[in-house]
Amino acid sequence: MEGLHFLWLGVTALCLLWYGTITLYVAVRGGRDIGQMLRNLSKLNGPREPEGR
Amino acid sequence: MPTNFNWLLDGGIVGLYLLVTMVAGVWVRRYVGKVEHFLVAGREMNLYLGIASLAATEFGIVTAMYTAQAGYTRGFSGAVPGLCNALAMFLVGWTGFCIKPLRDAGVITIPELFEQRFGPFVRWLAGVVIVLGGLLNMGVFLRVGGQFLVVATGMNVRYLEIAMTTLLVLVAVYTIFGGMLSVLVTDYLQFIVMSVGLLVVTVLVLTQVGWFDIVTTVQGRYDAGAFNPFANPDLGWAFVVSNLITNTAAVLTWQTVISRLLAAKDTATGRRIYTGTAFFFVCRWVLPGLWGMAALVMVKPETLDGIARQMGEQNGTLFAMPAMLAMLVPSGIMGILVAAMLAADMSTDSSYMLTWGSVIYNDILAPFRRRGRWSERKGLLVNRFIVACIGLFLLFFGLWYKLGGNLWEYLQTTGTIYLSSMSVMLIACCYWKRANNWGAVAAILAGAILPVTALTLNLFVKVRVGGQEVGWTTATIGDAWVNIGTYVVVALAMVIGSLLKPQSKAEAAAA
Repeated sequence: MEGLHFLWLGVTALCLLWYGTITLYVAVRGGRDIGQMLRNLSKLNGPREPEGR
Repeated sequence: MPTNFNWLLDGGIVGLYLLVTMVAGVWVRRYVGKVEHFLVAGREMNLYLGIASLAATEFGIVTAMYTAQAGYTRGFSGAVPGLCNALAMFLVGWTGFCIKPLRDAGVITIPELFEQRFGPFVRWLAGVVIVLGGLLNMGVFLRVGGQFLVVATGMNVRYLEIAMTTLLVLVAVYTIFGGMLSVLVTDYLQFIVMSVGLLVVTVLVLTQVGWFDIVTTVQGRYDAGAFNPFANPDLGWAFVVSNLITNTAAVLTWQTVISRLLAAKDTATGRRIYTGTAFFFVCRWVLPGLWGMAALVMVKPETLDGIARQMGEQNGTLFAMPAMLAMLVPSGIMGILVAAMLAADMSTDSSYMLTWGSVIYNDILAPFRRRGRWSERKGLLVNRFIVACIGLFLLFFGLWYKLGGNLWEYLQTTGTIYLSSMSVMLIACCYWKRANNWGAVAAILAGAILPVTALTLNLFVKVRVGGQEVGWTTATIGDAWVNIGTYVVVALAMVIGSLLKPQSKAEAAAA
């Protein structure tokens, strides 16, 4: 059973390491993706008044 | 129950999070000009936003609650569904199995693809089954989320309904205004807040409770079954196989997952979102599962019985994790935790409301839209009305439905109502030329009848097992076998139904 304890310890450590890294990475690159997506949609929509006015 | 939640400090952190989310969510409505923007963000979503959105959507308070419950009742073995989910998502993303032809088809929903192969009636019927299965599944989200807040923050249970209603109204406002665009932008913010909260609290649990104490306690309670699912009498091969099948089906057809693929800017990006997010599904089971196991160390069973009575629920194990957090997490971090959980819940609720709404608009209302072309303005208005109606349904269903037994099994059974038929139909649609509408209808009927029968028997026919009342299907057949059996029967229905339909000469030549 000792081996399984170490297996789950490894999985837990990997989760913390991977999740911490991906959070930082996605926080930076995801922000850029939002900017790019909104710029592309602005071009597709063309000049117009924001909806609801 | 005592808690470290400080309404000034922690309440301030939560209030700030809610304010920023609402402003961002409502602000992007100005970019919504067409129905396609509202439903799939104009297919402009790139990789990292897709990963953030998919991860945030697939982790809500309800997820934290059932994964922690699995940790509390099954130890590390309770995280097996997460491993199955991650494996399925990685393999599907890597190979492009089904998702490549689906994204290449340029559709907004899966039933739309079915119409190309099986005709308009199957599209409409598939839409009905998806919405019924999805809403039944989502119906418990709100109550469970409210219960977490009550236990973790020490809020009076009388305010549970008010808290649930307020949360839903906030989510509904930005989803109605901005559709998928608001969902994506708020998902991104919510992913960051949620991830910080999950990581900080996990480190706190490990440092305060200790790895050794957690391992010793779960071993003392469940022996080898705590670490090995095949040695656990409640799990075993049937549970693992059932989870592999269900999670593969979910990865292929669960509309909230698929909507990220369909909103991606191209097929390659959609596949990379799958492979990039796959390991998150291990994290979403292991980390809250660890919280559940820490609760096994810290929380006395009689405390849970008291909370369950207070909530009017039969099973107290669901409340072990929030009860532990209320005792362990200090003021300040408690604000981050509650903001993280609200972020998780709001991202899930908004995506679910939008995606089930998209199926209602795109597929169930398809026959009405064909009769007279709807303008983009009318389409947007109808979509917003549908999202509002789903919000109202959730509010009322969430208020009166009381869950008995294991939450994950309930979600799996209700999800199977459509996962079984839709996954079999999608595979047949993409890779079996002989598949036709007879097989599709047979698959839909079989996929709906079996889980609904099992759920009904569980709700209305009770059997006493070990002094506890258990649903008949769970006690006599087992939820895992019901799931596996459903997929087998649905696949047979698809094959037999398709083969029974006489082929025209053109079809035979094409096949």
